[in-house]
Amino acid sequence: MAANPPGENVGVPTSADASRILGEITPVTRRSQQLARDVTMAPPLLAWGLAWIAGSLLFQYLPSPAGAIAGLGVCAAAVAVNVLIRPREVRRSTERRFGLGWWVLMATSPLLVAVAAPGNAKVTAVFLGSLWAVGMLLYGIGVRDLPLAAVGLGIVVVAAATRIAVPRQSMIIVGVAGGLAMAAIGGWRLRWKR
Amino acid sequence: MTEPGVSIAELAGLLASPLDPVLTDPTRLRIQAALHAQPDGTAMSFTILRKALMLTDGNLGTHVRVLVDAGFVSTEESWRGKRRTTLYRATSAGRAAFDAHVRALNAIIQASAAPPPHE
Repeated sequence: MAANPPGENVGVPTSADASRILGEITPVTRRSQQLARDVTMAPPLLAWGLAWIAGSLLFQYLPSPAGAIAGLGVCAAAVAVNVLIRPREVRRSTERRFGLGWWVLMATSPLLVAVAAPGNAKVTAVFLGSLWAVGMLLYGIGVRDLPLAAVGLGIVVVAAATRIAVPRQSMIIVGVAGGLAMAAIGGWRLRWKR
Repeated sequence: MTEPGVSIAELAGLLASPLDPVLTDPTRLRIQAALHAQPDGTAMSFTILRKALMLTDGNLGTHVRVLVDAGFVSTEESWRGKRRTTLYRATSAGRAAFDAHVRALNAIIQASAAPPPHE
């Protein structure tokens, strides 16, 4: 195929051609944005989703303090996956700024736990999960990732509802439901590799 | 009839601005659109561009080279071990040219819908 050299005379397209050309741009724009979201968010969502499921199950069913330590261990594994598996195919201009935001949220979490002083370790886990879900919600808004923002908001709502309705099961419900939602979206977004 | 907010004078101005010759090719316009859809400064690999546009390697490579030569797209290389990835991003000139080209196409559509001028 030949690529026209720049500078040559251009015929003005008809109105129908112009409409068709503009119509062809819209799906490309949508696919480009979708692919960028899929590439950048699939590994962290999958890693954090699985970490939430495993962590909450371990925390719920292993005796203390082994459960808490195991739960923290899987969270550390998810952080490691985020740091080590960085997609090379898309580089966002806002990557460093948002990355710094996540680190700040993680680093200030213990301080916020100290401020809120939750009643026990399981309430602390729900509180931290809700806090990080707000981070997801804000990040989703920031990068215009609606599903991510919706999952973040959903986790916060479920956490609040279960804390009121079924406080003893709140941690396991939030962990498994939130983890499943994240892992499902992360797994679905890996489809770009096919 | 013109769209609300667009005067005849504005329409005439838009029609007077020539279509960009580089972006007149539909494939190049689609490539520029895929990069333009990303926030300013965001870069995409050849693989992702190819998937977004559903083009062959040869077709994409040929047209993206023209866009790079025109200064509408910039490239950067990223290395992981011995594996190289070339990333492409829309430049400011490319974004401005794309916006102007789309405006001109819209003006053509609006002009065709406008009533003929009265004597």
